Amino acid sequence: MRLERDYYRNLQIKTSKGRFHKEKSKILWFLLPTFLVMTLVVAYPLIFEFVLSFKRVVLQNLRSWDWPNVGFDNYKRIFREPIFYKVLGNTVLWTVINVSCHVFFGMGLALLLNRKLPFKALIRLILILPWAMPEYIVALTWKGLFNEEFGTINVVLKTLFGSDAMIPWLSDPKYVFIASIITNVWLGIPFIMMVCLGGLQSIDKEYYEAAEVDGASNWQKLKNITLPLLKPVMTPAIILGTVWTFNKVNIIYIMAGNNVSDDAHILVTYAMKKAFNNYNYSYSAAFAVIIFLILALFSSTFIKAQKMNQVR
Amino acid sequence: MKSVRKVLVFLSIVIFQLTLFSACDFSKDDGTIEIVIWEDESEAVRAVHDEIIEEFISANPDIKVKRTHYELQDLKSNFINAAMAGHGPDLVIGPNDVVGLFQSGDLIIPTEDLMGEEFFSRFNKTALKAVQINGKQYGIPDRNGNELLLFYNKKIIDKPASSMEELIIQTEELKEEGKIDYSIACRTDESFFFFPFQTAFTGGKIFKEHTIPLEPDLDTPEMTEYARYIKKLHDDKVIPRSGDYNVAKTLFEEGKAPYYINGPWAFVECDDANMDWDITVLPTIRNKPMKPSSAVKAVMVSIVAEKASGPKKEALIKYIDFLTSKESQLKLSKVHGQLPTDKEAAEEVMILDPKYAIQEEQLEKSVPTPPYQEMTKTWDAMRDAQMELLTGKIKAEDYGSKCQEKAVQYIEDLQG
Repeated sequence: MRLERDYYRNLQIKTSKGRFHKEKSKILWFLLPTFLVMTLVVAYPLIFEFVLSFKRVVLQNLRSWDWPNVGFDNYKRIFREPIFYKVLGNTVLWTVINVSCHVFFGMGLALLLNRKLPFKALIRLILILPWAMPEYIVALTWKGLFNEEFGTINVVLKTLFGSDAMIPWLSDPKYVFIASIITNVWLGIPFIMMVCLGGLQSIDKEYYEAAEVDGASNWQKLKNITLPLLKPVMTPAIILGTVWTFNKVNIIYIMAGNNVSDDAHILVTYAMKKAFNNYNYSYSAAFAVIIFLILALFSSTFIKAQKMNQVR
Repeated sequence: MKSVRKVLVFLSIVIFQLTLFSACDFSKDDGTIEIVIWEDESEAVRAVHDEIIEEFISANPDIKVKRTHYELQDLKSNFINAAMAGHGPDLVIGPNDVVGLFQSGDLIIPTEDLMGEEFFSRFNKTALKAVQINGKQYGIPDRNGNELLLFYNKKIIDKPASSMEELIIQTEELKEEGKIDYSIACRTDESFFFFPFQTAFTGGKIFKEHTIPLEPDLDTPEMTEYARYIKKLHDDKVIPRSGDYNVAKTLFEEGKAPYYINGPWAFVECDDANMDWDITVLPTIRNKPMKPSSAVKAVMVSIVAEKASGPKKEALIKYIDFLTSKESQLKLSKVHGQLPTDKEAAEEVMILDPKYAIQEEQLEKSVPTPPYQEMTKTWDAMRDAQMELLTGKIKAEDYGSKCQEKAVQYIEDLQG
């Protein structure tokens, strides 16, 4: 009897082990295409970029594939050049202002839309429009508005305060930067607004009812219920928003055309200029690696800080 | 059940592979030869080029010609990327300063290899020289000039000024009366359009003499003088506070500036705007001539076409010959407004239209653009410094050194 029981137990273990291995290999087969695609489109370019950053690759030797190793020369050059710190400062300013405005206005509008409003569906549709429009078209439209001679903004300024009040939006690097920020803020609000609205609608109304019973004010409800419960939704949205904004090429490039002055550059547009205007591919690759490391460091720190807050 | 799963897995793999392969170009071998051309032409020129293509195809039904347009900056970067990967066009049409850039990366081939020496006898020698590097013909010029001229609105200006001093006095009153905003409409975002002003002070010198590779020589007292002059023109609203091509064009077309500095390619635009206009040579500054940069536009043969043989090679030769023929140049000349490089065609247009004679006169007072990559980067450097000067970021005293610093840096970037 006992022998028989042991026999069946062993058989069961063997069968489940075999099934487990079979299942495992099946899963691996299904994962293989994804793995291949990820290797091709993510891992390979990333590794290639790292390798490129330690070589000397310019237009003259590009086709020969004879790229001499230069060690950390490209990195040393970047850190030695004052322009790097200027552009880094611009990038931080660009990202902080954009993301702060996206979150502030996006959350504000989401809170508004979460209330009872007349024509709510129409208002929501209008507010989502910037998101639905292609970035290129949006940037060109804003560029038209900022046109120094014929743009609506300067025409209004000229009519109200005379021609001296006209602002060189697209030629002075300082104003190119401001014009680009205004455009990008307008573009980015709907994303945060939608994420936030989704988060708000998933908060159980009982929390607010309980708070009302306790006599909590609107500010207290926002501070103690809404914001903490929005955190799980907002954390990835802010990280994504930061990474996207940090790496946003289109807006500055379209606003200033090919003639972006160094003063209006952010890291990614500067790297692009070095690669596609100055044809110094390895220098640009080193720049891209630095951008990648900054963003990786930011994302991991931000996530860790959020997790620690949750534990507390 | 098992077989169903196997079929599903098999189908998934097939779909995955098909998705991958769909990105690849497997052209059908139906006997048709395709010639791909990338260019940076204006809209009007593109339309005439398409007519030429149609005419060519009707005479050669086994050849297909595909033309794609890019703005110059995109043409440069897209062609470099494509040619690097062994793809891209067979022919590229662009200004001669990109010839040096493409040649430095071995992305174009000498055209004698394809066309033979005899082919070039019908072309203007100066135009041919503009696309020669190390004695090799890296492009086939189809128009000569690219020089800037002084346009004027005949409704506002009866007799065009021959000097800047005269021009400023002539337009000052109109400005005070509020009839115009600026004296001259011109692009402020490209150094090419300011270069004639610069030459009145420097004589057109950009590089040190007899040096290959070219070495910039921009940190000079003459450049400081020029910077002071151009800043004053900017501050006095003689030239626009800022403006790209369209702004300059609109200022002229709307009568907000009676003068306009632009090239022959703008003739069609002025006609389209129903303007009463004419051209003259650029005025003098302090008795010194303003010399524009002259250049040619050329058809370059991509490295992709290097291995062309048999019918493809024949098709390429046929098409280049057709596109640069006297007849095609005459058709194109009507829209780009520049002198044809075909000697007979050039003589013909000069008899027919006095504008070409004025161009010829301006061409004599011009500075040829060297077809080297250092020139492209020096244009960029001068443009960046110019933007800083006009926006008050740097002083006129620092302009020359800024140009020099940037030009050296950009050229160093090219060399790594």
